[in-house]
Amino acid sequence: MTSSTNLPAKADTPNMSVLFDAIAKADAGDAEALGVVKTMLRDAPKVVETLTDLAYNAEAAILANVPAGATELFRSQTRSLRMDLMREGTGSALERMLIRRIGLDYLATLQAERARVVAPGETRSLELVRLYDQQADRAHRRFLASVESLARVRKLITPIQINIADQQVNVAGNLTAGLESRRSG
Amino acid sequence: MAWETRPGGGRYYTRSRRVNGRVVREYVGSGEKGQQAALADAERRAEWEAERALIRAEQARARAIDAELATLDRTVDVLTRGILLAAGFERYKRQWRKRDDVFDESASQG
Repeated sequence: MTSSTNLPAKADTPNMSVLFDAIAKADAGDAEALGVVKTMLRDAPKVVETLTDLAYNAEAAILANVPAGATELFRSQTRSLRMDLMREGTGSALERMLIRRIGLDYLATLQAERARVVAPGETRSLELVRLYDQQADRAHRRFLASVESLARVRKLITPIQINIADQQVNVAGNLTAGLESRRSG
Repeated sequence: MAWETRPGGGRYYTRSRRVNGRVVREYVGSGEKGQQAALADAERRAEWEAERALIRAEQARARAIDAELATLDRTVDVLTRGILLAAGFERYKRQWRKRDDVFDESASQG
Protein backbone atom coordinates (compact mmCIF):
# COMPACT_ATOMS: atom_id res chain seq x y z
CA MET A 1 0.00 0.00 0.00
CA THR A 2 2.83 2.39 0.74
CA SER A 3 3.91 4.16 -2.39
CA SER A 4 7.42 5.47 -2.78
CA THR A 5 6.68 7.37 -5.97
CA ASN A 6 6.92 11.17 -5.95
CA LEU A 7 8.57 11.14 -2.55
CA PRO A 8 11.31 13.64 -1.80
CA ALA A 9 14.71 12.43 -0.62
CA LYS A 10 14.76 11.17 2.97
CA ALA A 11 15.43 14.07 5.32
CA ASP A 12 14.81 15.12 8.91
CA THR A 13 12.22 17.64 7.75
CA PRO A 14 10.08 16.83 4.72
CA ASN A 15 8.98 19.09 1.91
CA MET A 16 5.99 20.63 3.66
CA SER A 17 3.99 21.46 0.54
CA VAL A 18 4.30 17.84 -0.68
CA LEU A 19 3.33 16.59 2.79
CA PHE A 20 0.37 18.96 3.09
CA ASP A 21 -0.85 17.99 -0.37
CA ALA A 22 -0.62 14.29 0.54
CA ILE A 23 -2.46 14.90 3.84
CA ALA A 24 -5.30 16.67 2.02
CA LYS A 25 -5.62 13.76 -0.43
CA ALA A 26 -5.36 11.15 2.33
CA ASP A 27 -8.05 12.97 4.29
CA ALA A 28 -10.27 12.71 1.22
CA GLY A 29 -9.79 8.93 1.20
CA ASP A 30 -6.83 8.51 -1.17
CA ALA A 31 -5.09 5.33 0.06
CA GLU A 32 -1.92 5.96 -1.96
CA ALA A 33 -1.61 9.46 -0.50
CA LEU A 34 -2.04 7.99 2.99
CA GLY A 35 0.94 5.75 2.25
CA VAL A 36 2.94 8.81 1.23
CA VAL A 37 1.96 10.59 4.47
CA LYS A 38 3.00 7.61 6.57
CA THR A 39 6.32 7.29 4.76
CA MET A 40 7.08 11.00 5.02
CA LEU A 41 6.22 11.17 8.72
CA ARG A 42 8.23 8.01 9.43
CA ASP A 43 11.26 9.25 7.49
CA ALA A 44 11.08 12.73 8.98
CA PRO A 45 10.54 12.36 12.72
CA LYS A 46 11.45 16.01 13.25
CA VAL A 47 8.51 17.25 11.20
CA VAL A 48 7.08 18.93 14.28
CA GLU A 49 10.26 20.97 14.58
CA THR A 50 9.32 22.79 11.39
CA LEU A 51 7.00 24.78 13.60
CA THR A 52 9.95 26.43 15.29
CA ASP A 53 10.15 29.33 12.85
CA LEU A 54 6.39 29.87 12.90
CA ALA A 55 6.34 29.78 16.70
CA TYR A 56 9.26 32.21 16.89
CA ASN A 57 7.51 34.67 14.55
CA ALA A 58 4.26 34.41 16.49
CA GLU A 59 6.00 34.99 19.82
CA ALA A 60 7.87 37.99 18.41
CA ALA A 61 4.60 39.50 17.17
CA ILE A 62 2.85 38.90 20.50
CA LEU A 63 5.64 40.34 22.63
CA ALA A 64 6.44 43.33 20.39
CA ASN A 65 6.47 46.50 22.53
CA VAL A 66 5.73 44.55 25.72
CA PRO A 67 8.06 45.79 28.51
CA ALA A 68 10.93 43.46 29.43
CA GLY A 69 9.58 42.71 32.92
CA ALA A 70 6.16 41.70 31.62
CA THR A 71 7.79 39.68 28.82
CA GLU A 72 9.77 37.63 31.33
CA LEU A 73 6.72 37.11 33.54
CA PHE A 74 4.56 36.02 30.59
CA ARG A 75 7.26 33.64 29.32
CA SER A 76 7.61 32.12 32.76
CA GLN A 77 3.82 31.65 33.12
CA THR A 78 3.65 30.11 29.64
CA ARG A 79 6.56 27.75 30.38
CA SER A 80 4.84 26.67 33.56
CA LEU A 81 1.57 25.92 31.73
CA ARG A 82 3.40 23.96 29.03
CA MET A 83 5.27 21.91 31.62
CA ASP A 84 2.03 21.11 33.47
CA LEU A 85 0.39 20.00 30.23
CA MET A 86 3.42 17.91 29.25
CA ARG A 87 3.39 16.15 32.60
CA GLU A 88 -0.24 15.09 32.09
CA GLY A 89 0.29 13.64 28.63
CA THR A 90 2.07 10.84 26.83
CA GLY A 91 4.85 13.05 25.49
CA SER A 92 4.04 12.15 21.87
CA ALA A 93 5.23 14.42 19.07
CA LEU A 94 1.62 15.34 18.32
CA GLU A 95 0.97 16.38 21.91
CA ARG A 96 4.17 18.42 22.04
CA MET A 97 3.08 20.28 18.93
CA LEU A 98 -0.39 20.99 20.30
CA ILE A 99 1.02 22.08 23.65
CA ARG A 100 3.36 24.45 21.88
CA ARG A 101 0.39 26.06 20.17
CA ILE A 102 -1.49 26.28 23.47
CA GLY A 103 1.55 28.05 24.96
CA LEU A 104 1.53 30.68 22.22
CA ASP A 105 -2.22 31.19 22.46
CA TYR A 106 -1.88 31.57 26.22
CA LEU A 107 0.91 34.11 25.71
CA ALA A 108 -1.42 36.04 23.40
CA THR A 109 -4.16 36.07 26.07
CA LEU A 110 -1.71 37.38 28.67
CA GLN A 111 -0.60 40.16 26.34
CA ALA A 112 -4.18 41.04 25.39
CA GLU A 113 -5.25 41.18 29.04
CA ARG A 114 -2.28 43.41 29.85
CA ALA A 115 -3.24 45.77 27.02
CA ARG A 116 -6.86 45.81 28.19
CA VAL A 117 -6.03 46.97 31.71
CA VAL A 118 -6.39 50.75 32.13
CA ALA A 119 -3.67 52.30 34.28
CA PRO A 120 -4.74 54.65 37.11
CA GLY A 121 -5.34 58.12 35.71
CA GLU A 122 -5.29 56.89 32.12
CA THR A 123 -8.18 57.84 29.84
CA ARG A 124 -9.10 55.94 26.71
CA SER A 125 -11.45 56.52 23.83
CA LEU A 126 -14.34 54.12 23.42
CA GLU A 127 -12.81 52.97 20.13
CA LEU A 128 -9.54 51.97 21.82
CA VAL A 129 -11.38 50.21 24.66
CA ARG A 130 -13.41 48.26 22.10
CA LEU A 131 -10.26 47.37 20.14
CA TYR A 132 -8.53 45.91 23.22
CA ASP A 133 -11.71 44.04 24.22
CA GLN A 134 -12.04 42.46 20.78
CA GLN A 135 -8.35 41.51 20.80
CA ALA A 136 -8.72 39.82 24.20
CA ASP A 137 -11.90 38.00 23.11
CA ARG A 138 -10.15 36.64 20.01
CA ALA A 139 -7.16 35.54 22.09
CA HIS A 140 -9.39 33.70 24.58
CA ARG A 141 -11.33 31.98 21.78
CA ARG A 142 -8.07 30.82 20.16
CA PHE A 143 -6.73 29.58 23.49
CA LEU A 144 -9.89 27.58 24.23
CA ALA A 145 -9.91 26.09 20.73
CA SER A 146 -6.30 24.94 21.04
CA VAL A 147 -6.96 23.41 24.49
CA GLU A 148 -9.98 21.59 23.02
CA SER A 149 -7.76 20.22 20.22
CA LEU A 150 -5.37 18.73 22.76
CA ALA A 151 -8.25 17.29 24.79
CA ARG A 152 -9.72 15.66 21.67
CA VAL A 153 -6.40 14.10 20.73
CA ARG A 154 -5.82 12.86 24.27
CA LYS A 155 -9.28 11.31 24.30
CA LEU A 156 -8.50 9.50 21.04
CA ILE A 157 -5.08 8.31 22.03
CA THR A 158 -5.64 7.02 25.51
CA PRO A 159 -2.37 5.63 26.80
CA ILE A 160 -2.35 2.02 27.81
CA GLN A 161 -1.28 1.96 31.43
CA ILE A 162 0.62 -1.03 32.70
CA ASN A 163 1.58 -1.32 36.32
CA ILE A 164 4.75 -3.31 36.87
CA ALA A 165 5.41 -3.67 40.57
CA ASP A 166 4.77 -0.11 41.81
CA GLN A 167 5.97 1.51 38.62
CA GLN A 168 3.48 2.91 36.14
CA VAL A 169 4.41 2.53 32.48
CA ASN A 170 2.44 4.39 29.84
CA VAL A 171 2.53 2.79 26.42
CA ALA A 172 1.66 5.39 23.83
CA GLY A 173 4.88 7.36 23.33
CA ASN A 174 5.44 9.08 20.03
CA LEU A 175 2.59 8.60 17.59
CA THR A 176 4.79 8.28 14.56
CA ALA A 177 7.22 6.09 16.48
CA GLY A 178 4.25 3.89 17.36
CA LEU A 179 3.56 3.48 13.67
CA GLU A 180 7.13 2.40 13.04
CA SER A 181 7.12 -0.23 15.77
CA ARG A 182 3.86 -1.66 14.44
CA ARG A 183 5.33 -1.90 10.96
CA SER A 184 8.46 -3.66 12.10
CA GLY A 185 6.51 -5.95 14.45
CA MET B 1 -10.29 76.34 13.27
CA ALA B 2 -8.54 79.40 11.87
CA TRP B 3 -7.71 83.01 12.34
CA GLU B 4 -9.68 85.30 10.08
CA THR B 5 -8.63 88.83 9.22
CA ARG B 6 -11.60 91.20 8.95
CA PRO B 7 -11.67 94.13 6.51
CA GLY B 8 -11.38 96.54 9.45
CA GLY B 9 -8.03 94.98 10.44
CA GLY B 10 -9.16 92.88 13.41
CA ARG B 11 -8.15 89.20 13.67
CA TYR B 12 -10.79 86.79 14.88
CA TYR B 13 -10.35 83.18 15.88
CA THR B 14 -13.08 81.04 14.30
CA ARG B 15 -14.28 77.50 14.59
CA SER B 16 -16.08 75.73 11.76
CA ARG B 17 -18.43 72.80 12.28
CA ARG B 18 -21.02 71.01 10.23
CA VAL B 19 -24.69 71.40 11.22
CA ASN B 20 -27.31 69.54 9.15
CA GLY B 21 -24.86 69.25 6.28
CA ARG B 22 -23.96 72.93 6.24
CA VAL B 23 -20.73 74.43 7.50
CA VAL B 24 -21.37 76.89 10.31
CA ARG B 25 -18.58 79.22 11.35
CA GLU B 26 -18.46 80.32 14.96
CA TYR B 27 -16.59 83.52 15.79
CA VAL B 28 -14.82 82.78 19.11
CA GLY B 29 -13.08 86.07 19.64
CA SER B 30 -10.00 88.18 19.04
CA GLY B 31 -7.00 89.05 21.17
CA GLU B 32 -6.28 86.99 24.29
CA LYS B 33 -9.64 85.19 24.20
CA GLY B 34 -8.93 84.05 20.65
CA GLN B 35 -5.38 82.99 21.59
CA GLN B 36 -6.63 80.88 24.49
CA ALA B 37 -9.28 79.20 22.36
CA ALA B 38 -6.72 78.51 19.62
CA LEU B 39 -4.31 76.98 22.16
CA ALA B 40 -7.05 74.79 23.67
CA ASP B 41 -8.14 73.63 20.20
CA ALA B 42 -4.53 72.83 19.24
CA GLU B 43 -4.11 70.71 22.38
CA ARG B 44 -7.35 68.86 21.73
CA ARG B 45 -6.33 68.23 18.13
CA ALA B 46 -2.90 66.94 19.18
CA GLU B 47 -4.55 64.56 21.68
CA TRP B 48 -6.98 63.35 19.05
CA GLU B 49 -4.17 62.78 16.53
CA ALA B 50 -2.10 60.91 19.12
CA GLU B 51 -5.10 58.71 19.91
CA ARG B 52 -5.66 58.03 16.20
CA ALA B 53 -1.99 57.08 15.79
CA LEU B 54 -2.20 54.75 18.81
CA ILE B 55 -5.35 53.08 17.45
CA ARG B 56 -3.71 52.60 14.04
CA ALA B 57 -0.60 51.12 15.68
CA GLU B 58 -2.63 48.79 17.90
CA GLN B 59 -4.79 47.67 14.96
CA ALA B 60 -1.63 46.86 12.97
CA ARG B 61 -0.18 44.99 15.94
CA ALA B 62 -3.38 42.96 16.42
CA ARG B 63 -3.43 42.13 12.71
CA ALA B 64 0.21 40.95 12.88
CA ILE B 65 -0.51 38.70 15.90
CA ASP B 66 -3.65 37.28 14.28
CA ALA B 67 -1.80 36.58 11.02
CA GLU B 68 1.11 34.79 12.72
CA LEU B 69 -1.17 32.69 14.91
CA ALA B 70 -3.45 31.87 11.97
CA THR B 71 -0.46 30.57 9.98
CA LEU B 72 0.63 28.49 12.96
CA ASP B 73 -2.96 27.21 13.42
CA ARG B 74 -3.24 26.09 9.81
CA THR B 75 0.09 24.26 9.97
CA VAL B 76 -0.69 22.56 13.30
CA ASP B 77 -4.17 21.54 12.09
CA VAL B 78 -2.85 19.97 8.89
CA LEU B 79 -0.01 18.17 10.68
CA THR B 80 -2.42 16.91 13.36
CA ARG B 81 -4.66 15.56 10.64
CA GLY B 82 -1.67 13.91 8.93
CA ILE B 83 -0.37 12.30 12.12
CA LEU B 84 -3.83 10.99 13.08
CA LEU B 85 -4.42 9.61 9.58
CA ALA B 86 -1.00 7.95 9.63
CA ALA B 87 -1.72 6.50 13.06
CA GLY B 88 -4.78 4.72 11.72
CA PHE B 89 -7.56 7.19 12.47
CA GLU B 90 -10.14 8.53 10.05
CA ARG B 91 -12.69 11.30 10.12
CA TYR B 92 -16.30 10.22 10.07
CA LYS B 93 -19.06 12.82 10.34
CA ARG B 94 -16.52 15.39 11.57
CA GLN B 95 -15.38 13.06 14.34
CA TRP B 96 -12.11 11.16 14.49
CA ARG B 97 -12.30 7.39 15.02
CA LYS B 98 -10.00 4.42 14.68
CA ARG B 99 -10.17 2.86 11.21
CA ASP B 100 -11.73 -0.62 11.20
CA ASP B 101 -9.09 -2.01 8.87
CA VAL B 102 -6.10 -0.63 10.73
CA PHE B 103 -5.14 -3.89 12.41
CA ASP B 104 -5.68 -5.97 9.27
CA GLU B 105 -3.51 -3.53 7.39
CA SER B 106 -0.67 -3.67 9.88
CA ALA B 107 -0.93 -7.43 9.99
CA SER B 108 -0.59 -7.66 6.24
CA GLN B 109 2.45 -5.39 6.35
CA GLY B 110 4.12 -7.15 9.22
